[in-house]
Amino acid sequence: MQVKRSHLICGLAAIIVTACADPLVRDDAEFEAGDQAPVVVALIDSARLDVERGALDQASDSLERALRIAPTDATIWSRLARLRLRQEAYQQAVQFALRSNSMSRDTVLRRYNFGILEKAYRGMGDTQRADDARHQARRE
Amino acid sequence: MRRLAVFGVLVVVVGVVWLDLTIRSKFEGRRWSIPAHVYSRPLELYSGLKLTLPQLTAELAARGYRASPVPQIAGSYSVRESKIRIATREFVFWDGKQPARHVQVEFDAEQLWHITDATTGAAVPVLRLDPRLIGSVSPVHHEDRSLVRLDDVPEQLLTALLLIEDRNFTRHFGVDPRGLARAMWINLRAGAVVQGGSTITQQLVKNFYLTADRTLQRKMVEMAMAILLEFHYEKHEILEAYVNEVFLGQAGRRAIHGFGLASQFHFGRPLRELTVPEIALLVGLVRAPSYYNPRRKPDQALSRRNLVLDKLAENGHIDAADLAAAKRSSLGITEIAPASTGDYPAFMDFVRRQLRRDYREDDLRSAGLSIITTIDPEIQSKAERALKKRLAGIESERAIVPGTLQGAIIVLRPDNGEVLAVVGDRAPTFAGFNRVLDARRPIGSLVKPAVYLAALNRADRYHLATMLDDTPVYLKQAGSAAWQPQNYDKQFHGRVLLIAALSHSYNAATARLGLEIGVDVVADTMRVLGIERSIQRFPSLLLGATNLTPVEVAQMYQTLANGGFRAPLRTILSVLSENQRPLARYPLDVQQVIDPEPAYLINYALQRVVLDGTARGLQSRFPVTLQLAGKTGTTDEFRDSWFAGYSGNLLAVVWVGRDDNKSTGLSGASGAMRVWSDMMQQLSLEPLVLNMPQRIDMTMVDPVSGLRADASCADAIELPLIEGSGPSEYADCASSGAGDEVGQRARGWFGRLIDRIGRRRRERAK
Repeated sequence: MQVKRSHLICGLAAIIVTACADPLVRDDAEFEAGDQAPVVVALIDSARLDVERGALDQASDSLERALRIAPTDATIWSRLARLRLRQEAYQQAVQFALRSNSMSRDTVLRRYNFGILEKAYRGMGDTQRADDARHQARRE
Repeated sequence: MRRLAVFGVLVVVVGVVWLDLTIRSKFEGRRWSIPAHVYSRPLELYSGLKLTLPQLTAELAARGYRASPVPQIAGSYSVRESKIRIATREFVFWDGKQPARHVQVEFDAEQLWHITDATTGAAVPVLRLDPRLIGSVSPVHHEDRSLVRLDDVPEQLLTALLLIEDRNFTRHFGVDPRGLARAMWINLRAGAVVQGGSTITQQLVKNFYLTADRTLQRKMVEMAMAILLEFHYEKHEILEAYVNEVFLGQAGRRAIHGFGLASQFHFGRPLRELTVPEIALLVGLVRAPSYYNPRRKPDQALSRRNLVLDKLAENGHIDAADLAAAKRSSLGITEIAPASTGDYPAFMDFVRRQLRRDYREDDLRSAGLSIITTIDPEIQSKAERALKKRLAGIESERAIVPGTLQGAIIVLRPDNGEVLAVVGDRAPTFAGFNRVLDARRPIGSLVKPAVYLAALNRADRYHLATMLDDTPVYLKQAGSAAWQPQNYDKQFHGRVLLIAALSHSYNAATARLGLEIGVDVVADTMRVLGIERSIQRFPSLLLGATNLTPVEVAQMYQTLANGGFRAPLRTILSVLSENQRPLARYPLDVQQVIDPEPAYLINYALQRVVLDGTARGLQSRFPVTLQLAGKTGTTDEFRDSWFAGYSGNLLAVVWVGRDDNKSTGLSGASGAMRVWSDMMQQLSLEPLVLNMPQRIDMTMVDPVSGLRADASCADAIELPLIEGSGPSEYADCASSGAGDEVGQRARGWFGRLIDRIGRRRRERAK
């Protein structure tokens, strides 16, 4: 009986720790970006297809074209940040995530961006900033 | 005797071998000397784009698109009411080939409404037009090429060419004795030289030499080389080389070689889009490009063209009806300034400098690269015109000798650092001193945002409502006169709000503030904003006694305008190889170098400069809803007139002054700002909407005391202040908490917590 209880406790602890540790960065997170113009939707779709076939630079190009058209759309900046994360270009991932946050009050998006920040900082080995980002995500 | 003969044979053999080597090396060498071609930024068409039908037509015309009742071949369009049908050209962008398409574009009021694929009827969400060819990079010997493959040359052109220049091309061995004889006979009968006897091969050899010796000796050498050429190379290789080598005109210092380039130069469109009479004109040029120059000698050009057309008809290549129509058609020479390094020299200079960081000069001159840049030719021409007109206007107003004033303009997108226009001289096509990149001038009051930003970075000590002393400053300096900065209006204004000191550009208050913060801190702030040059750290820096170029100023203001995110200024988007393979992409690059709160505050203050500060003259020219921001700059004795200003989508820096550094009598507002306005009024501006960070609140302040105010204060103004920063005491006029310090403190922590919760609730509800 005692062994089973400790298993239970470990199991619960594991669940709690995991739930607390993993910020809400789902790889395929989709945003309710509101009414995006068809041109932006088309370019984002094109970027998504590029990512699927591993053409990450092409995807960047499409997202940058989208940004030229809609520079204040925070979700596009966020997508670019996530792409950079995938490319392991952590410095840039941080900057694009910060840019996205600087132009949005949407808590879902902001939390998501803090998640990207956390992952990017961890990738750079900056645990202090990574932890800060995690805390900021919680506070949103 | 025999020895002489042997010696003679040896000489001939050596001669032939030498000729052989020469002609082969020339042939091979010429093939690969193609300069880089430089393109404008791509124009993206999409529903909602602020573009009118006439503007789109102008963009198409600038690319050599031809108006045609039924647009079939690529490079044509037709307009009906609010709809335009376009057969677009294919173009290879960095991300691959975009095929030619037939589309229909519909307009609605002032914007593009809808794009449909004319073949399938499907909606087209976005369409990139082929960019404009704006120049080449420093062609060698001022020669230029637009290479074509033999397959790309229209059939009729080859037919006409061989007919007129070398009927027996496919059969002779480099020299055509029958052709020579025939020519001699015709010329004798005509009594003049009507027909040349040189084969195309011989002409090709002739083109390889820079000097045009027409001695018999040279002719013999050319003949020998022509024979050798035919020995080594196939007919189609020779013809292809010829088509790309043949001299077809001179434009100033620039030699036009090859039909591809001649097509662009004379007609503004690619070779494959030419009509029969246009082809006939080019073929006619071969014999005597200067004599038949269609721009200088249209009559001669016309009769030569028609002669070629007649010949084509005689030999059954066009029928009588087409012949008649072709002969009736006008020359069709384009008025568009032919793309060359001469079009936008200041911008091209910038491009070249940026390319040099990554590419060798050799590659740029000869590897046939394609370079896609950021320039917006429409904005560029508006900038050029504005500078030219306004400087002339100012000179006339103030009885200044015409031509004395000079100027520089740089326009860019603050959100990504892409440079849209560069004007380095009031005579923009003059490829001389590039004032945008190289004119280092004192920036005067343009430095002030850096001083105030350095202050606002210390939120614990400074905020927009901090009271500053605009009173005499006296700074003893070792080894020179004491520093006693004067205000522009020669007055001192006493205690003023920090935001007012910046918006009215008070020198005394700024100097005092800068000295408190420290010159080093200000210089470091400038570095953070993007100034790479080392700055001399004297107190006079605080009032702008530092020399910067307009492009450096633009970088500084880009960081401010982009909410504290620095994006290095760039002119190149991508580079492709000669075979259209992607070589390099210059990606978007931003870096947050200022915290969001001070970034917001400094932008807010720069909006005040335009609202009621030194740039309030803009209010009469732009709607207040644009919420423009900017800074005027005037240096000692009115030697330099600066203005840096931005909307939500565009930033432009303008400098006006004299090259000999004498006084112009112009302030920033009366000189540069007027040029800026003239230009920006013609552009599509978005409002500058600042994102207020969560930690900032609009707070009521009494402008006289700098203390907090409320509705009971008559002159209260609202200023954005960071939470916990700003005045804590209330002014006398306020009814809330007046003099009640205890009540204030009790309210203190808990009260502020309640406030904060309430505020968050309100924000969430938005």
